[in-house]
Parts: sequence; structure tokens; C-alpha cells
Amino acid sequence: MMAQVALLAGVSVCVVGLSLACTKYMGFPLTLSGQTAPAGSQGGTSLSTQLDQATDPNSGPREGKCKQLIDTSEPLGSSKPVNNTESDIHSVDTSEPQTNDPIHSVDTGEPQSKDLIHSVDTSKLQSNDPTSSSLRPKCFRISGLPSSWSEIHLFDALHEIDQSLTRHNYRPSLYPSCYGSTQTALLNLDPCTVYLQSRNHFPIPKLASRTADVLTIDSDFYNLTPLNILTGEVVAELVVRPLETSWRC
Amino acid sequence: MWLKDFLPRDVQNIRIMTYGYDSRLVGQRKAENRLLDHQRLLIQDIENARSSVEVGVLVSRQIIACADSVYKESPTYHIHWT
Repeated sequence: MMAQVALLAGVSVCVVGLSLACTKYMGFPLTLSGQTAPAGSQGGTSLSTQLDQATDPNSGPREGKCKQLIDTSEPLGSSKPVNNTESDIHSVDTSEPQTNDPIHSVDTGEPQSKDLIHSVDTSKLQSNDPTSSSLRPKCFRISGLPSSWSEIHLFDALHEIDQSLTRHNYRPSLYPSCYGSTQTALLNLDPCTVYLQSRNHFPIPKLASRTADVLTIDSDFYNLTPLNILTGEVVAELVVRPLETSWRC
Repeated sequence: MWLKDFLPRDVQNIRIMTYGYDSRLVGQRKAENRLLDHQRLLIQDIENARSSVEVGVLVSRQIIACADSVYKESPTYHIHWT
């Protein structure tokens, strides 16, 4: 009986000693099959714990081994990719909390890729922006304006049919019409809006213009178009047949 | 644009207008009017413009016509307007 107790005690002492030796000098604990490392222990193979050890200056002889494990892990990478990750996060989204904790750097790897995709989508949307420089300037003639109208009245009527028209690209010139008592406006849109880019001749609805007169907008400039306001006696008419659209610039 | 921004400053008491017409000679939407039709329409438009300013007055003054020539290799596009 005493011999059995002594044998068990000896075996236990050997097992404990072997475990401590493995933990201290080899960097990993000797655990029984099916058991996990206890919480708070320095051993274990969890990735976060290895990262903690890699960045811990007081990690002792395990530091080199843990760094080697990190180097073989592509998402974590060595110190250089980690720095790139941080710089990319700076450039993509500065709202993310910046930290030197490697675990947070690893966790932000996936959102970083999402941010890059988001930036690509944004650039695609910007290419379809109606106010982008891809739209060419275009000049329109608006006929049939009441003589009492000003540029503001005309803007309100045009804004009813084209909401993208802003005062930034709205520079009209109003002249008395060649026929009758109405006015004719020349509107140079630079850049032109998407709605008006593909339209050459159409009437403005009376509901939009809020007048009984029919306003017509066109870009072909057929027939006579006035280009000045008469101030005195007219001594001559100058009729110009321009070369396409070159005169409108 | 020089016709409406600069010319009225230098030349007073003239009426500056442009005249445009459908001059497409080829394609599905080519113009149906011939050159003689364009001439008649131009004269009629000028008469209407004068009568809208001077009502009941026989107007006799000069008309200064300024035109260009469109020439694109093929004689089909060659148009003179004076």
C-alpha cells in the first residue's frame, strides 16, 4: 500500500515537473488530451494570445517564436503589412478609432476591404453625376416670353421642368423678339443638364411657365434670333448666318 | 459671344440677328426645302421683323448679310449664302 502511494506521488511529481519545464522553455504547455489551457495562462495556441506575446516587450524567450508564427499568418502579416493596414485605414476612413493594438488592426482588416469597395462604388457614382464635366455646354433659345418677364421668372419656369438647373449654370440673355411683343432668351448652359442635353425642340408646359403664352425652347436656332436691344433709330439690319454653333461661344 | 457681347458696343443703331435654317442635305432627317424656299423664307422673315418695329411705315434701309461657307470635302455640302 505504501509502495503504491509513493509510486503515485512520484508519477505526479514527474508530470508536474515535466509540464512546468515545457511551459517555461519550449513555449507551449503540456496538457492532457481534450483539455484546454486555463484562462489567464501564458500558454495556449489562441491567435490573440500569440499576438499579445509578440508585441509584449517583456515576453522573454517566447517572443521570437511567436513572431515567427505571426509571420506565417497572412492576415496578420509581419510588421510591414500591419503598418500598411494602418496607413490605409488613415486614408480610407479616419472615423475608425486608431490604435496600436495588433488585435484591433487584425479586426479592421475586413472593414478596410469594404471601405475600399465603397470608395470604388463612389467613384462610379461620381462619373454619372449630372453636373460632371462630361456634359458639354449647350445653348438654347426660349421664345414667347412675356414682355414683363425677367430672368427670375424664366428661371422659375425652367426649374419646374428641370430640377437640376441651378443658378450657378444659369446665364440667360433676354432680348425683344424679332416678331411681336414677346421676348426671346438665349440660355447658355455650361455644363448642360442631363434633361436638356438630349432635347432640341419642345414647348414648355403652361403649368410650368404659369402664363397663357406658349414658351418654346430649342437649340437649332432656325429663323431669326435677336442678339441686341434696340435703343434708337435702326439704320441697318445685320443678319448673320453663323457656322453651326461656333457663334454661340 | 462676339455678336451679342462686343458688336453692339462698337456699332450703334443696328439690329443684330442670326438666321438659321435646316440645311441638312443627307440623312433620314434631311431638309425638304430647296434653296429657293430658304430665300423666300428669309425675305419673309425680314419683312415681318421690320413690320413689327415700324408699323405702317415703308422701311427702306440696308441689310448687312454675313454668311459663311460650309464645305466638307464632298460638293454635296457646299452651300453659299449671300
